[in-house]
Amino acid sequence: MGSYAYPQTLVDTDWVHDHREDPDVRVVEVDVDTFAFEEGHIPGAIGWDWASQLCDTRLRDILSKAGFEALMGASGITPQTTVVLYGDNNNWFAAWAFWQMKIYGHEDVRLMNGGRTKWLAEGRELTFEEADIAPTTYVAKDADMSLRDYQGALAKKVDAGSLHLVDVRSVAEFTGELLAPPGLPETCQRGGHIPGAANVPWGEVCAPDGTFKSRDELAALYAARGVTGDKPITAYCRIGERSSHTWFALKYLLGYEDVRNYDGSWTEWGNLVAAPIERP
Amino acid sequence: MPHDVSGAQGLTTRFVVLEGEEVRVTSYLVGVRYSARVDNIDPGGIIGRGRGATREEAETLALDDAELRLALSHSRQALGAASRALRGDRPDED
Repeated sequence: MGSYAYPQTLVDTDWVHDHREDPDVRVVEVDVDTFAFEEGHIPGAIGWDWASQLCDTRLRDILSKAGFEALMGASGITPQTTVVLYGDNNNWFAAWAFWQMKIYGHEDVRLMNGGRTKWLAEGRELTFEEADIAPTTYVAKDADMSLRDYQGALAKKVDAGSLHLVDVRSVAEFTGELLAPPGLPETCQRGGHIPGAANVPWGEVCAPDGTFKSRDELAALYAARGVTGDKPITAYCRIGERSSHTWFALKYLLGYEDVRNYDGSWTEWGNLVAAPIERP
Repeated sequence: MPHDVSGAQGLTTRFVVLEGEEVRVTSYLVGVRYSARVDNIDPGGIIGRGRGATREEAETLALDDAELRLALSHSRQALGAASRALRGDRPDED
């Protein structure tokens, strides 16, 4: 991990194996639900359900500060805890959790490179046992919304051409051929993409085993699509989870300073009245 | 469930066509139970899951789950296209 801009934010499966009983480390499996977690998880890990624990589904928002503090406290996490996140679904939802933990200022949060798939492929130990958690009282920092883009602010930057916009969805979603990936809900009225966006599907940042490509490979990948660190960057997808993964790569592996995740993503922009789109 | 700690065993991946879409089926054994998942390859989202006492049982449940989701996707696409046709919209307009 040495060549990355912030190598401490990414750990490999060996590191997690070696630290799974470290009392200062909390390993958390994060996914859209806890189905996979219940099939066996890393010993000592706890599970977070993205849909019910990491979102305010009534507001369609991230957790409130109080909600975030409650989740951290129930998870036995203090501001000093090293939190390692991993998950199924290519670490998408783990990356969402990472993004949210950074919004609320958690200092030491890391992703396990390759996620659950790599852990399984290596035949590493799994357990059905629930970790014994001692609740804490967690006090979060005020939300740092410089990590997030909102539609109104984004629209102004799109008009001004003052950012690099990265659409991480599949080519078929980007072109408007599909409104959603096969088998997932269509939650927008029209297909296409936000004007000026470059299409860099999330998976292009990964090697076949799901681990991140090298820093040089990532830099070349984005540079070839015109995305460099010379302007602010915003990543988006359909609901903001795939783009969290790309946001992580751009901000922590490449070290680009001003990178935001637009979690409203296509399900917001694609439904807006009079919002401009591009479609071949 | 047993609380034995063990690794996933017999991890296999295969590709099948379901509802006209190529999907990837991954299954493995943990303890005494098989788990299976089906993903849509591009972008790789999981669209079906199943568990069972045998690999076949787990994969069948996961494939049934995925098949239903894909069928719903295709039905929604067909409904949208039909609605646009009834409105007289150009086919390439949503």
